[in-house]
Amino acid sequence: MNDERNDTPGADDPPEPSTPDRALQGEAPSELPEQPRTEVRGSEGEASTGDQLPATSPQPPLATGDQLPATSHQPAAAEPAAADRRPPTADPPPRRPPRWRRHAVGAALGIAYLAVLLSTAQEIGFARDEGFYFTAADRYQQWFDLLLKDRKQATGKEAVVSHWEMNAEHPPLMKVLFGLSHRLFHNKLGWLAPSTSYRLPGMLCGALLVYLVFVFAAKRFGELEGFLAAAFLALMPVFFYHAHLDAFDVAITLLCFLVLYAFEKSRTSNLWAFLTGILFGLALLTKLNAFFLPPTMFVIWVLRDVIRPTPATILAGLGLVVALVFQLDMRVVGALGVLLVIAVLRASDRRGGFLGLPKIPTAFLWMALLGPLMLYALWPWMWFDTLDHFRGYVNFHAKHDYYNIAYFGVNYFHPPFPIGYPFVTTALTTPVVTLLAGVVGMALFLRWRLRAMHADLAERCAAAQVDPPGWRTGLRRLLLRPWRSAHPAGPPDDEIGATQTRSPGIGIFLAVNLLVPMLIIAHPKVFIFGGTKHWMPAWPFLAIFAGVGAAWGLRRLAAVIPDRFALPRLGPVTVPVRPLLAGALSLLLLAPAAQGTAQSHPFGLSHYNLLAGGVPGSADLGMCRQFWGFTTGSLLPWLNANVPRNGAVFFHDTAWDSFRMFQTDGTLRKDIRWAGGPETAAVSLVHHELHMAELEHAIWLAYGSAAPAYVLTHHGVAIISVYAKPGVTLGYVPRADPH
Amino acid sequence: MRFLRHWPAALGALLPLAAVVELAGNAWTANLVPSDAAFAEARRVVERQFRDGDLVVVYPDWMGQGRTALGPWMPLRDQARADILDYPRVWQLTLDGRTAPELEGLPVEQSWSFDGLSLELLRNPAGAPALWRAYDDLASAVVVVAAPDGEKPCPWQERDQAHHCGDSFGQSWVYVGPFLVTDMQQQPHQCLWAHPTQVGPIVATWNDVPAGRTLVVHTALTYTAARDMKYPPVHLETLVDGRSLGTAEQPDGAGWRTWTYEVPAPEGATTPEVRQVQLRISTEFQGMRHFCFDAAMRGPT
Repeated sequence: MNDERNDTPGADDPPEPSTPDRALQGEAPSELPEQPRTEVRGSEGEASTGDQLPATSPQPPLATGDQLPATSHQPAAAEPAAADRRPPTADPPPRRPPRWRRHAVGAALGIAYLAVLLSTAQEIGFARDEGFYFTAADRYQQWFDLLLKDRKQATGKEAVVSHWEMNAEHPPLMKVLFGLSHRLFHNKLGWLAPSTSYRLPGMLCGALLVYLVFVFAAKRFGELEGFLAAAFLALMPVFFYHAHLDAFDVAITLLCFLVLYAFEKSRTSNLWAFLTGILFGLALLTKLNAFFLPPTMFVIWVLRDVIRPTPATILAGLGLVVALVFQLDMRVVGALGVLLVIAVLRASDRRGGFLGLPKIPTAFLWMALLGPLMLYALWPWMWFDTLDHFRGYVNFHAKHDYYNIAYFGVNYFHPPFPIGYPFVTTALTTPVVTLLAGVVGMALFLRWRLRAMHADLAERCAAAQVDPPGWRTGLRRLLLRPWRSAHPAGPPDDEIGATQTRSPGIGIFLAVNLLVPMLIIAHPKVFIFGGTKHWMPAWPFLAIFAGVGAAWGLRRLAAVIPDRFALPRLGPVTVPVRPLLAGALSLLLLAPAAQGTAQSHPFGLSHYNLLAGGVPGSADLGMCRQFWGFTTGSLLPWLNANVPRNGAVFFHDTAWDSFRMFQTDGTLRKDIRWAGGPETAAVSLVHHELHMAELEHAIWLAYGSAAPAYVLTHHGVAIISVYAKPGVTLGYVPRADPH
Repeated sequence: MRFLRHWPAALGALLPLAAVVELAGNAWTANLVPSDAAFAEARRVVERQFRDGDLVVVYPDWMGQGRTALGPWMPLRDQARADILDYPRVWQLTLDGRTAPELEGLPVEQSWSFDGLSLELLRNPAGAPALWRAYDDLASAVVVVAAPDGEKPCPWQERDQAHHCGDSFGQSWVYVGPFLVTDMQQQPHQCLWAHPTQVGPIVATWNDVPAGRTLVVHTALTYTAARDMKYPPVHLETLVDGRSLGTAEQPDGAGWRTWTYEVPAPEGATTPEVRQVQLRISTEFQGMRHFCFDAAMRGPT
């Protein structure tokens, strides 16, 4: 089912990016130059399309996706490429690092990240949902015990329903892993605290994702890019927080990335197409987000392999997305849809076949086959009353209550939600340098895309023996000539082109995976109460863009060093100054992200970047300060020291299961009791969220006082206020040891 | 235009530059709020100079250490105040360069600065305790529901300090009693709960209110009642000595509202020492009308 072009590697691969460079000079194409042959050999299957560039053909195959058209009409003789005019560089010629090194470095990054997560896990309190998953994980393990003891009884309806009904609104994979991890690493080996043993699979997902992002980016762009991308992801403060939890968000981010990674590789490998199906099944067994993978992949396929990215298709496509997100009149949506179809058909004029459509990727077949099968076979809850249970699962989310979330001082609790929410919140919570580097990375791809389209236009005009539209050429000359005629200094400007050669359409792949999760949440009717985590599957792709942009910038900066200083000799050793400078500066770029992450811990959800003015600035802006009641974990030392013996505490937003886990872990005194409300509590907590003010005032009324006994703060901003009931004497004196 | 050829390096240099700025900025924002020692200094000053009747304001209200340090001088009544008119002196604890919106323009009598923390003693020229406040004088009010078939009395119940109206017609939520409302802006205010009913207007009458120049009426709906924006407003008509001064309206989406009425001159030649104040609360639809009010007589006679 694969596109047959993929079966003949390199059949329509793009030439080096100097081609559009030249086309952008504004010279009219006049002759057919010799097409250079470039050997770019990847070490993994998916890159084989770029192994060999095709021989020049007067009628090149149609360019699709991100591939540059194999432009045949270049004024190569009239003007050499900019790179050719530069003096020979003093840098050693780049060598492709061996495959094992890429995996070793990636693994080292992942293991280091896991070590950091493990060492900081106990400092983060338990979110509401974590408590529910602790309990569900135990319940599922009981079923496995029964399965080992009495298979027939375990697979009967009664046993299945009684064990798997708990938390049936979420698929079981991660909860099963949480329970297994608890059994192994706490019960059996005793290596980890109870809570940390439940959380370990989530942390492993975070570490594995860091590894994969490095491997993916290093393979396609380079090791510096890979390192920066993995580090930018690991050092996103909100990702760092979520990577600690026994929750599904990082896990589904990992599985989405894996599915997309496999889909990318499946372009040239049927084995990877099969694995895409398996991974999709695992994603379905992890979280509901997996249902959005097929449409995302469909969009990628359409943009890469079906639509030729002409200005008309891009404008019509973008217009359609904007019209849908902004819920414009259906007539406008319909008109844009018609325009898109026309643009696609016009763009497919030379492809041949039925409407010019390529064959459907094999991965889609395996996904359709294995996904539902695995969801059914590996989720016992689906074994009985399957349709009812599946409907209940989907409806739980489709008809979910709208919880409260603060955004610029407004408490949003029902639609319409602000369209800009995912974009603005990302901009205010991601480290600024990461964002800036990401924008540079996206701009590089965009620039490449514009050049590619221009080259495509020039080629088609030449083929039809007509001049390109005068206004376009004039506009480009006006805007770009001063820059282009200046011939940018520094290393050859070909990273993106080379990557597009190795992985055709990689820019579209990254952009779609970055945008789709955010666009889904941007829809005014889609709930936003979980904040940034809702579009977490987009974050690895933001990190990759950032890695690409940062590495590009650092290389240009390092190239400022004159050639005579670029390779000094220290005794017998030649020091490559430029790579060393780029490496050192990359650490500087990561420093603010590391600083922000360290500062945010253990209040990850309260973190806001410098654009928001930090945590105090975000409080001034009225942004969400926290949710899930996890910050109680940071209050435990105060509670242990001040709650009277056998005192009851109203824990507000912290779930009972989470309270129980604090005591199981031994981080909260065992004599402290749970109170259902402020009236029956000696001490009451308020987790500060905008919509929680009413509860705080109710406590004031109940206690006749507005003076807190203690306020837990983060960068000076109130996170939890603690109120003591009148007459309660705070303080805990341990009983004297009789011995 | 040769300088343009260096744009890639310039763009590359922008990233390390931004990193340095972000590093410094992160350190700055994390230390924007000073340490506990500064708050302890401020506390010592307030402890020495606080007088009964002073108001203490911590701004911004997210500054948790401020509320902990000055909590003993921040009673519930002050924190849930209607306005700042009752207070001739106001203490403001804030960050350097900031002023709470409600305190803007008040002259500064004294100020202290502790490591970026600012403590100011402000004079409130208009500040004077109210002559009378409905919230404090609820027991002396006569409350009825003016139903078409005759007035339904709302007897005073000492136990919960409220006039209960709805028990006789099956609407136990209809009463007039002390309440702490969280308004549409999530701000707290002490007020009198008076959930209107379609049985008839709730009429609260005070016969011995010290005479003053202005009558200030405050109204609010609870946040949860006001946020849905789908129910009709609550009306509150104010009468002094039987003369209507005006009708306040509290629609959905509105926060704590203040209505100031000039108290009309008495009809007789002599100036009475007390006036009768009557408030009539009504609505066209009684669902989710979690309404409350307060009233204060101000100024010399």
